[in-house]
Amino acid sequence: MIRTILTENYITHNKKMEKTSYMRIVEIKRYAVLFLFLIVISIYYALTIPSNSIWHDQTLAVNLAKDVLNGNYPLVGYLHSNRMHSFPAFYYLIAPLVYISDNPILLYWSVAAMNILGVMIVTKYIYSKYGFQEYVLYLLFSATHVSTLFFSSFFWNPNYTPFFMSIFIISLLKYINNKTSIIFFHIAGIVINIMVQMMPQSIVLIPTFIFILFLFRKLPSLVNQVVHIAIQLALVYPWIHYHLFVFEWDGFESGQKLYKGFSSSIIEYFNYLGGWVLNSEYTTYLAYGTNTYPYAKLIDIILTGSSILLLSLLVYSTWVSFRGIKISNYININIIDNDVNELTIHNILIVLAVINFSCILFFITGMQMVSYHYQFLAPVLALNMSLLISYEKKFKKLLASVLMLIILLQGSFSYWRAYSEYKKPYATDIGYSDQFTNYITNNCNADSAAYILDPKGLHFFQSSKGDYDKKSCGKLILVLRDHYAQSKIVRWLLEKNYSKTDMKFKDYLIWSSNKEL
Amino acid sequence: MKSVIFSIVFIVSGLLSVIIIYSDDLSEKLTYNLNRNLNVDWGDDHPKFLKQRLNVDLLDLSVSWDYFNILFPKTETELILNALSNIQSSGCISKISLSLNFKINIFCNEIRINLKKNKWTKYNKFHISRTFFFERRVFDDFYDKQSNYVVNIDTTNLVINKINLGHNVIEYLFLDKENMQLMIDGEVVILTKKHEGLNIHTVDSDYFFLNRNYFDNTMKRESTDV
Repeated sequence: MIRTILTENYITHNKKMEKTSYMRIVEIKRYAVLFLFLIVISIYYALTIPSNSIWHDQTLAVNLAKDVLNGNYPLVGYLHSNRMHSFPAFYYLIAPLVYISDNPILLYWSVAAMNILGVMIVTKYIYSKYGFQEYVLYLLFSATHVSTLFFSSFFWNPNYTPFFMSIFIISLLKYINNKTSIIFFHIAGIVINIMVQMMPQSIVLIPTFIFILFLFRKLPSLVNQVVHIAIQLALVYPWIHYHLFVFEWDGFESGQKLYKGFSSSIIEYFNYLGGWVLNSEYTTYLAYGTNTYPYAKLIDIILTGSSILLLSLLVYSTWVSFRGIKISNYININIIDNDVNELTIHNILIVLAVINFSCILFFITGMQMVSYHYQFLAPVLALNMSLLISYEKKFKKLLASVLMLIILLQGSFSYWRAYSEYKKPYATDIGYSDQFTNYITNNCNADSAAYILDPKGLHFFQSSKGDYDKKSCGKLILVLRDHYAQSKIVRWLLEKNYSKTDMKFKDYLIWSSNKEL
Repeated sequence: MKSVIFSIVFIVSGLLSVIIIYSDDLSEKLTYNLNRNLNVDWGDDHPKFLKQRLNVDLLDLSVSWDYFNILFPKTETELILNALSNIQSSGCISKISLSLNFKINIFCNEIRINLKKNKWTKYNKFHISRTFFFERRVFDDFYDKQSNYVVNIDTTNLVINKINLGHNVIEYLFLDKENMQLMIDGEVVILTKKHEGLNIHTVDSDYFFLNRNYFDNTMKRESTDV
């Protein structure tokens, strides 16, 4: 008898040990994958952030943050292209960063860090609720998606949106999950407000949020609704106050029409999915993307192909989600077999499909859209893809293969691009302009001046601050190897007026008017 | 479903009937609007239009005129638009063809084009204009207005700088945002908008108009230095 009990105890103990040991292995795997993700994505940012540019909006943002620190609290931000002032929340949020340092590298890294933090918040939720596979897929998608990675390496108001969207999704899911409190409703609403302040196009999330709450029968009490509207108004009050009491409306003329056409919203949505805007060095809303010469056609196929594949999965996911919704009449919309006590994967897919589907409002209104306006979709796409694979058993292998192909195509371009940016930066980039200043100061005297020649023309860059005991380099012309190779006019101008020197800076060829160099 | 189809047919037939009944009034209104729009002064750097008896016929899908002259701006003498001082057309009728491709056919008795003399500099097989520079907005404006249709011009007399080249057929269409194809009596010429300027590719060689930056830093600087 005693022996039997001892044996049973021994078996139970062994089982517990096995389970603990298994759990420990899974935990180790989990942290190993996270660690790998952090290393890979950090390499991407380390290569691309120094190769970024700085423009008027960035300088203005830093100055407005300094105003906040000096006690001059701005009511509004810079002017949008439609000549309306932006909301001020962004400048208050970055003020602590600017207090630490106004070095562009730090500010640009802050966007990357926030993006990583957003990814980690969602993955923690996924892991605790679902499993290892979904967790890995989310990390893989986030570490490769071209648009998400590109925008999150640039310091600008809209580029913090994916982080806030991650918080919004988690708050919303926690609120829909019946066991948690009303506080998550308020957090989700406040986060939408912050996103709208950073990127007004996120306003589509307001009707979407309301619709999701209506769909899941989770509209809060009237008191909470009133309190929440008051919070929303308080958050945008500075902007309203400015436009009611400070702004001079006489003579105001909007810089843009609200309606711009139906096609731009579709094309730019597609563009955001695949990130093909980066297959061009100069575009209307991107001062410079990537010089993909001589691979432009191949990259076009890669990015367009991954756009089509991703769109196909999204359409399928939307169909899978919406087939679980029953519409009896316009106020009686139900989720079939909805268990209010459990937030199933299908329910989350419905939430994500509704958010994604909200983009149709851009099409209906014919608003002017650019791919960066869709940044709120970053965590939506990643979560949608990772959950779709585990939810849909029927075509699991096919869906997983397509997703892997998308990740491979997007990842290949993202990391090729990162390496290319590192190898061929512009002399004006935030991480290289000082290096070039030192280079010219160490090599040329104060009579020398550097110009940059690119397909758009010849532009003054800077004068040397070198001592007079250095040689005179005359007029130095910096031209990137790729520009030299791809443009006949660049070659014509150089060969006609200048001679090539032995001087080299990164991927620049340096030509000079001084024939002796 | 039947009711939806019936409604659509009813609405379309109603609209067609209104158009046919009021076609004269509508043509008159369109003529007035077209003339008014062409009379707008867009500023010194935009072309001006002189015309006589420019009429729209809605049912015939046509526009006709006795003469129609385009006078190009003279404010910036080096802008590419000034390479053409004016284009005169007379005895013309243009008809819209609603085939697979939206096409405008223009039949004229005479088209006169006055081209200004252009000096070129040679770089390999490349001819670079020393006289005029190119601005992207010229190409973009043209693309915005005419990217959706093919224009076919058939003229009995094409006179360039007072030399009569006789009967000519000129057709142009935009291949995409960057490329326009011009066909002059079957010979293809491709105009490509580039960051550096405008490339004109013919069977024999390439011609190039620099953008303003390149022009100012090369051709203009040379002439100033001289």
